Amino acid sequence: MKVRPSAPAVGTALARAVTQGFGEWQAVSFLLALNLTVGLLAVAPAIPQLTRELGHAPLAEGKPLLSAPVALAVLAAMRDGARTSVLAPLLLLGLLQLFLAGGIARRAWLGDRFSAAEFLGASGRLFARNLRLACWSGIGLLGVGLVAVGSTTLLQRLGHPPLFTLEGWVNGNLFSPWSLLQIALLALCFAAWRLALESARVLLWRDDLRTTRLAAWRGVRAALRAPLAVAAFALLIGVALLGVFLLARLRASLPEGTVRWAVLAFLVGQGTLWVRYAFQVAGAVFAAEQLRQP
Amino acid sequence: MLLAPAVLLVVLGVTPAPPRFDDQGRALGAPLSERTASYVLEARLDPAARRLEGRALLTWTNRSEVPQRVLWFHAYWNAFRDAKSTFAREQAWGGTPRESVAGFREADRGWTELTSARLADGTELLSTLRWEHPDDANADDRTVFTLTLPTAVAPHGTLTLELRWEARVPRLASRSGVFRGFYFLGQWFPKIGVLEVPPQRGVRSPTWNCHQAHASTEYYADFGNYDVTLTLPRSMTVGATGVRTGRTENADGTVSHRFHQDDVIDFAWTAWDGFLEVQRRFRAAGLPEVQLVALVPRSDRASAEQLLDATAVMLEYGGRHWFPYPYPQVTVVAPPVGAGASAGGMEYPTLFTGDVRAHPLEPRDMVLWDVAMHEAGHFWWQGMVASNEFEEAWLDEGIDTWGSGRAAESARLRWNLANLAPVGLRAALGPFFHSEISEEDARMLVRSTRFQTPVALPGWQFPDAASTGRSTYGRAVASLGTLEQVLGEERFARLVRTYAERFAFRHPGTDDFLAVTAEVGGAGARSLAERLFRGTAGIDDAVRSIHCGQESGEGLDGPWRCDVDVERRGDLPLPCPVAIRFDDGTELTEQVPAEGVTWQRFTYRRAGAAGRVREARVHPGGPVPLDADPVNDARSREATPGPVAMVAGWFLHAAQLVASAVGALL
Repeated sequence: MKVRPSAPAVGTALARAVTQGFGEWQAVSFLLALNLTVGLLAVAPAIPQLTRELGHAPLAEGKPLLSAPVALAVLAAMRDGARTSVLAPLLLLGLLQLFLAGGIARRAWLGDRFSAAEFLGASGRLFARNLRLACWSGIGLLGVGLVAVGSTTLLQRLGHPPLFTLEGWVNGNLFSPWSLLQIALLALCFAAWRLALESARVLLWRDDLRTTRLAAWRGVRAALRAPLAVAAFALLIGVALLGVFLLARLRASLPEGTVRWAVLAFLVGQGTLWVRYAFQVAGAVFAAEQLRQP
Repeated sequence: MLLAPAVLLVVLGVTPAPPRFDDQGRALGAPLSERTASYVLEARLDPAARRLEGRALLTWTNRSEVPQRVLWFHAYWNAFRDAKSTFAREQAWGGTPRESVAGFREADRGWTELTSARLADGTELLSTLRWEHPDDANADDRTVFTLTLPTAVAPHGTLTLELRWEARVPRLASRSGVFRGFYFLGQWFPKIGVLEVPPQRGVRSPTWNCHQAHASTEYYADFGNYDVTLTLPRSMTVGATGVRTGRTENADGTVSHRFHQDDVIDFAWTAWDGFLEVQRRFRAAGLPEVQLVALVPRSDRASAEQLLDATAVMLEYGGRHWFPYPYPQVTVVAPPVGAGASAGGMEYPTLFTGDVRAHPLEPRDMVLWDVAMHEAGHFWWQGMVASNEFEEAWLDEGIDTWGSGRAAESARLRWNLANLAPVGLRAALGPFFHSEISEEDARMLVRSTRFQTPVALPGWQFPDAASTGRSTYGRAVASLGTLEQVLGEERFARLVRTYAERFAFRHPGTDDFLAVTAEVGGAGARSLAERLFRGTAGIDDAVRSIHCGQESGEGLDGPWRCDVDVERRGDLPLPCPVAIRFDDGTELTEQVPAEGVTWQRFTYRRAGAAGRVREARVHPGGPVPLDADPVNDARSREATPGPVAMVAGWFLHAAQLVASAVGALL
């Protein structure tokens, strides 16, 4: 019979997950490189027209993005054909991130010396299974979505503007009891879903499961049997969001309009994504730690 | 005792102007308007049944030289009668900025039905009622009707007609109706159309102007005196056009509220048992005093204070730049949360609806201020300078947006999109949205070198609701700004003031605005204004390229040739100065002809590398407000990689964050 993990055990697992997540810089680099590639592919089609529009534009120098001349110039560039690419890069992102999931699960379970060959090998070997697992986990994600819609509708009926509506956004209060309750509920649901998915991925690797439905189900059971772990995973997500937010805010606070500032903003941006992916790996490690519990 | 406040004001240096109306809403001295259509209205609201019964005593004057036997009326609420009305069809086809009636169930619908129309001698006219469709062939539309008199109203004669009607209050959708017990009632009585008389708005013979209710138009009515008695449950707080002149408790538990106002074009009212009333006195040197009343949901006192602050700023700005607001009262209504999209942001004489926020940003919440200043500006533009909102909406929306925008600038109001976020996130999101886009620019983000339609076009003839909004608001503002740039600030201010003073309490049209433009700015200004408001031309003046090179290989000190190419896209006939700056610091100004040139090259041959062109700029005094792309007004010979890197960097960052968010779901 499985024993529910105690609070100290969950705390230790959390600390180990964060430490290992940030220590797995090679795996994080793969994820960051994938993200950067997708970002570049999305933006690249717009660059020539933006260069034509702003490449010799003294009136735009030193002006922020949300200033009238620059914003109008960007709109003019878009009118003249500057388009970002969205669907193809996102499809690529989906495929490559699911490809890397196997390698990350291996790292989370073993945590040994990093080998790119073994990382990519595990990724390749589990790719098809991770694709199928993503489909099964979609059902759980749908459930989280239903909780979001349901709680929003309920709050609306009760006369408390929910944050996820335009009315609630303009008139709501992030710190009202109802808002906090809804956010906590959604955070726990999302954390349970994500922990189940990460657990299933680790199980695919550890037990070399071929039946992804079975892995998905075992992942769900592992998550639901350990509410403390779900709460800890929600905390992990919260800390990750806070880290990403602080760095993104730092990036937004930088002066704009010169190449040097743009380069610095780019580096801070990559730092932001680095933190986000380190926490993603930490999440996988945390799931592995939970599966290690007796 | 009464002298004490006046003495205090004089001591404080605030000397108000004498009032134009008494505290009962009656004009002091000569009437301000012709009072063509005056009403004594009595209405009883039954909230339980959502029914309204009314009686109107209309006194109408035939201003023309032609006897009038057929009278035209609006029955606006029949727009909500079913899905076949022109209003509903246009909403379904072209969209609407407010809540659509497409989703109305039977219980949500509203209508109005005339039950009697009697002349003073008792003659019943109901049998002569005929539904009219002046704007389309929609036989199912019942928003305009005519009554035929047994005897015509003689030229300059007056008619008194008693109308009785019953109505069902619709669910709040488009400025009228009920939302969770909150009633807002505009266009609620059978309102007579406007008999336009030459030379009014260019008509050549007396012509009735009485349009059907459309999805993206507003209203048009004659001035008159309104004396209105509203009977409703005691628990409801009431606000209305004009000033309250009486309150009578009835034996059946209802209360009759009486309101009066002379020289207005309409009467709107609201009733709700959830209102909090906040009052204040507007006082400014040289302007009449005005009682300010805000009706807001009980929990939103903070919004009320800001709505009144914004109204006061607009009253002072309008009073100093156009003409003083003459009425004794302003009533600001803030619909409860959830009703704002349908009832908020609408203007009526002496009353407007604003927005409310549960947690407004202190001390100035742009969401509250922007709407309040705009709607208060409408007291002049359409409320008193009573243009036809059906046919020439730019004359009220455009001029008001320009004017209230200037007032907002003078009050140094700035948008930050983060302020739209809920409390707790605003400060956190601030840096992501810090904006340097002015109110005026924000309204004009969709620009073009060739527009689809003119600005001056009947509202229902625009391709869709979005196009109506873009043309009558943002594009009209940019067009006015362009005219202002050509005329200069002082002359343009004189133009607007002359137009306002001359057409106060009258019905001007685009031709009248153009005539004042010619008078103040000359024939050239009129011609430009004609193109701006009746044409489709846009503009994008740009320095396309600067190319410098040596024609012969004599080293850097030899002769250099520089070509500066200027392109003019769009065909607005505006002067186009070009400032050329050289590496050695010298500058010169060229001129591209105002018309007939789409491209021009300026060539310079100078000795030495220091004689090369460093930068060229069209309109060195500032971009043309209507210019589709002001950033290409200037071009440098050397590359400016900073803006490209900045914009591309933001795009990349956004793409990466989106990718990482999507990745969190995989």
